[in-house]
Amino acid sequence: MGVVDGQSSQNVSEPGAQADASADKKEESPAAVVPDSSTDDFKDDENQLQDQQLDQIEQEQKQLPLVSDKIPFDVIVMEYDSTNGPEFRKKAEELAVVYSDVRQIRGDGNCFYRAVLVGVTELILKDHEEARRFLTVCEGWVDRLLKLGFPDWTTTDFCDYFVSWVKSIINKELKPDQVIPGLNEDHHCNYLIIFLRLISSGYLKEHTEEYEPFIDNGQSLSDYCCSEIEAMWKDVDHLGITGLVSALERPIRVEYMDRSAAPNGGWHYDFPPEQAEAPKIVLLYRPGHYDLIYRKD
Amino acid sequence: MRPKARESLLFDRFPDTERIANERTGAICHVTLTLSQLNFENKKIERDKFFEVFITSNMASIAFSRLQRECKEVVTNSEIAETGIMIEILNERLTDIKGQIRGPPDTPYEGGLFDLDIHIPENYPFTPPKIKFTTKIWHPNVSSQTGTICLDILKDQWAASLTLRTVLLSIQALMCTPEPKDPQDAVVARQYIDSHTLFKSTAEYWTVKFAKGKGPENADYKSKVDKIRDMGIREEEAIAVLSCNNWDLSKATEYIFN
Repeated sequence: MGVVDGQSSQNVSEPGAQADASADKKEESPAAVVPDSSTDDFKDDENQLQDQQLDQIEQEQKQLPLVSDKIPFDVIVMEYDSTNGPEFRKKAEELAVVYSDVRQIRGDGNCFYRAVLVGVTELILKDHEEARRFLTVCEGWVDRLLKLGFPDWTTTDFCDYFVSWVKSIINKELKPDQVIPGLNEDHHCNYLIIFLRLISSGYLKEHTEEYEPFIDNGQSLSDYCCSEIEAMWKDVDHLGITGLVSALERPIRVEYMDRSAAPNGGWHYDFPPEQAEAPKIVLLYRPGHYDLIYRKD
Repeated sequence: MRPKARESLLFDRFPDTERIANERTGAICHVTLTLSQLNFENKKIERDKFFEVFITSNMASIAFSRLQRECKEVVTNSEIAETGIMIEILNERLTDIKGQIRGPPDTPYEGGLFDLDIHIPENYPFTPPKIKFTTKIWHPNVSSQTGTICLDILKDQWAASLTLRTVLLSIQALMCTPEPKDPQDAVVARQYIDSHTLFKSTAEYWTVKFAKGKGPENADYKSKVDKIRDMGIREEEAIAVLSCNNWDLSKATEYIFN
């Protein structure tokens, strides 16, 4: 949800960050004010209105859990009718034949990473072998990140947090039925998500030559990773998906409600492409947002 | 999972919660849940106190222990001490911190002591600390009025793995190397580009006047400031208006009375 992200990044920057010289003078000496042109006032009104709308969207999003319970896929179908999206309705009905359930993920810009986190967690809860393998991959990332020049102790902290969380799932220190509900604890989950963001960035940086040409505006891969991948509440794009999937060595499938959004112009796409068997983790993409969906047994 | 600072704070004050600590299953969420489910019915006051501690330290404990480490890093690092960076912790929760940067040598800020207001947001370290100068400073990337700093790592280039140490060092580096093309204060930036000598003497004057700089006070500037003050304008405003008008007394006067 791009809009929501816009709000998040606005929170990040100082409100006065855009202050220009005239604004400075205005505060400087009330007795000596040079009247500002009305365009500034107009701009302020416009910004204010936009801020209000963004605020409202953010508040609405905060009402929702970070990760919902598994609910029947019909919920998605019911969201559309012939007036607000006949195309989406048709596509949702088709998907309902294959998929039985959905976990809705809060649209806060972390939805892709969160959906993958939940998907992977469910896999390792079910499959001990998978969990061991996953742990090895995660443990390997500490050194890989430090080798890439990520700052020492803070990066190590993020990695340790994630790895000890995976361990506590494997050795049942964490009760299995509490693991997924635990992902609704904001601060805890942020620490897990930042790890996923760091390793996505790490993987792309390990393959700079391969991926740098895909970045627009002549931005360096390193700057791109910092502002788009490592930054919390920033929506993922194709490069970020590739980074995470490769870093975790776990394929995912994305079902696209909007065909034009799919990389191959089709309805679904596997990362990495051309998987021998259908990936176990499936995400549903609707413009600007990812949820986690489940195949019928 | 390692012990959490917030929890230990709680358990120190409320020893009877220790049992729950031992039972906790690892993730913070479970502790939160268990604590809020505690039965305090017969101990209302105790409960209120308990939640006061609990709620006021609502920053995740892991973030708290990280912050403790960050502060320690600034205070104990000898390299940092040599460059003249200091912090002072203003509250128990470590959300309000005073920073101080000594003006770097060979800059107009040399000899000055610049205070900073550091606020740690709830989502730290996922959102950057909010930092501004509280000491007035004449610098293209700092608002001469509000002290707001324009620095990429405090905005879109913030990374959760950065620390107070890195941030303060970056601000000090910005004092050495202004970026007039990405200004916070357009007037200062214009002066920096168009009349660099004037910029330098103005920044030096501000360092002497506001940052306890030891350099001699520019006599020419002082007499102009005094003339404006005679018109009933506060010294701080007089300096600001003159600085904005390239120390042109008549322009400054015109600006004030128009």
